[in-house]
Amino acid sequence: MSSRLIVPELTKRRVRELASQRRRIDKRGLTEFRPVTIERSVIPQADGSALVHIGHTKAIAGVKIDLGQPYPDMPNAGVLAVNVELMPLASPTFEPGPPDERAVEVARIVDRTIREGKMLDLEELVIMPGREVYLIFVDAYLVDHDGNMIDACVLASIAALLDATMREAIVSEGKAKLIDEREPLPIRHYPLTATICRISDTLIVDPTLEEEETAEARITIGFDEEDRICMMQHSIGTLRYGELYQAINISREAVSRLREDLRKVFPDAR
Amino acid sequence: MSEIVRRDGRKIDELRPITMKIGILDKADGSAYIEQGNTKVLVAVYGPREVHPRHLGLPETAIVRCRYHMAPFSTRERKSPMPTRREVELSKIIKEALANAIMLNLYPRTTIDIFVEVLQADGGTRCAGITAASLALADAGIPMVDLVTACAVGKWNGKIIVDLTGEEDEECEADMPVALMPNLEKVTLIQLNGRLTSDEFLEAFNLAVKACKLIGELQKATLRNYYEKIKEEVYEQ
Amino acid sequence: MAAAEERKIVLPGDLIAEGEGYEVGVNVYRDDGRIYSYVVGLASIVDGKVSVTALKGVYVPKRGDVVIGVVREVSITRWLVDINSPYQGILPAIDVFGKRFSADKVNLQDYLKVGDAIIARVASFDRTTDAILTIGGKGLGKIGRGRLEYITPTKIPRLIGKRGSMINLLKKESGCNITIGKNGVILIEGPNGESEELVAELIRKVDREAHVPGLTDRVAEILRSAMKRE
Repeated sequence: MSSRLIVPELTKRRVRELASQRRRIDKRGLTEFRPVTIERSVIPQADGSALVHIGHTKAIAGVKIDLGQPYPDMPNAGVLAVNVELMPLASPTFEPGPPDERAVEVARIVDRTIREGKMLDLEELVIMPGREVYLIFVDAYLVDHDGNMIDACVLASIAALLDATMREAIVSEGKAKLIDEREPLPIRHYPLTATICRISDTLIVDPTLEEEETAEARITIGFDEEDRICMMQHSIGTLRYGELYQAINISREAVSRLREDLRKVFPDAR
Repeated sequence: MSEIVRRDGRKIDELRPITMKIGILDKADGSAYIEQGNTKVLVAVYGPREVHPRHLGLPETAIVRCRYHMAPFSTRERKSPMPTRREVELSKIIKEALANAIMLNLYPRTTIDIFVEVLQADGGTRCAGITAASLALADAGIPMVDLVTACAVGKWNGKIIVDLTGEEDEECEADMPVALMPNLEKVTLIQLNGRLTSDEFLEAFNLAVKACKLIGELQKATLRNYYEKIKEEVYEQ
Repeated sequence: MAAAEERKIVLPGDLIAEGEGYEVGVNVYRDDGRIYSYVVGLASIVDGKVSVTALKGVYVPKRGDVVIGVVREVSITRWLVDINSPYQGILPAIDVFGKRFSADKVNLQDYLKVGDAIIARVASFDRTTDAILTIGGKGLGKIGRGRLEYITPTKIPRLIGKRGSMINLLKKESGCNITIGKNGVILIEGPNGESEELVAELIRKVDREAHVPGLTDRVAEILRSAMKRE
């Protein structure tokens, strides 16, 4: 890929022309994801990890698990903390430094997908109520940005959590400590997202960078394995009411196909 | 639909009392204040004005910048004045919800700055902020294709309800802030936190559209009354 | 349409006119055969042209406009001038000293300092550059005396009035010379401080009550009673 900073207007015009004929620049179907690959356990140092490709877009996520104090207002729940970094090596438009508003938004989307999709039973992560709980840190790194960073970061984070195991905890003399035995995380649900863009009044799934830069509107919708909507984030442009309903139907289908990709790597996933 | 089920005695489709004012700050180009139940939000708009630093300006369009911020005294426990990740995200999505209505191409190389200050938080602060910011933009004379109106809906105790209080927001199974341009029937913001079936989503969305229509009427009345009041004062003298 | 005939207040997104045969004027847009307002303002339809006079808004420079500005920065070759607009004014040194101007011989500070006010004409502007100003011309240049007052730029037509009725009334009754900058800055030069203050007060009244009918009469009444007292 080239390292140009902006998508030329000519390319955008072509993307629009094609979309108005219900076609795409990479010849994909409108509701198709690019080829998705998921590699698990890529970072043995981490408690769980995954590298995800969606076309040329790559994201890697690592899970680190520790013991610590719960939030004071939630003494009976483990702590989930999600961070997303848009690495300067992923795009000429990313700068080193603290997460900007784009990174913060993606981190909050990943966090809400996991949390509101009830992926983890946080109450199962309590060792001593109010005192010792598991702290689950999910760090997602976008390492190559060719569009649709949201779904890539969500998928990498979900896969890393499915990959993760945590060391068992024992309590002795009122103190908790971790031993070398490992157990899986208390996974309850399997939320995933699909991002939809509108270009020339046509809705498409999983935009490439060129498509994203051309898009008139963008919305990301998450579903759990029972097809309940568990997350929504509208992040570019405006949507007519009918388009919103259509986007929900398209993304539900796209997520169920993405789920098959996930199951190839995690056969237990629902 | 109409039985009373909520802690504050409201019906499931009933809004909290809302008051809005515009033109309340002297120095800002536009300003507005909203109270929605116990939620109180103050908004100031500056611009279109020169961009500093100047390289941030765009050759063909104005940019919009937005800061959503909660005052340290706005919550039960003091909130650190440092911006949280939530505030960073909300600043971005509020900016986008409003920028979509503004005729940005009329003022290239300029900025429109929106400051949303939550003085008291009791649920629905981002939506109240958007509603008030749209008024402040209109008050500043900034050209827009439509007003932007926002309201949250959610699922609480198994029921789809409108305009959640802070308490309902904490207890709810799902909350969904929605912002619309009511005349144009376009969504400029939608988020969902929590789980809804597709049918529940439709019910919630329709309720949000209905609520936004009502709030939109209040916005219009607020703008008209501001100028009508001057007229009345003149005639009384 | 009723809204336009009564010069009713319209709001962003309000429908003003519907159907063929209307022309799109200022502050309105057409969508699907209907014409809507962009701004809070007073709607009018003149010869089939639909427009809205905004009740607030910023000044965007236009070539040929007379503006009143305040010097905010002096460099070695030009002055930067605040012209009450998102776009700044630039007064090049050659406009004052001619083509043979040489930066090592002249200190621009000696001619105009930060804070000095000028009456200038917009020589060029196309939104991609700053507004280039000139002070060569009758009535232009550094302001030596008087008082500045500000009005919402969109209300300047109201301050002028039909065929100059409002501004002529103000000038005649107050004895002040009044120069209107299209950018909403007004220079008032009167025989004394009180008359300048009176005009300034009436300009603020025009700003506030521009949308209320009968404004010229109200202003006339205040002027006459004030003049009688003297």
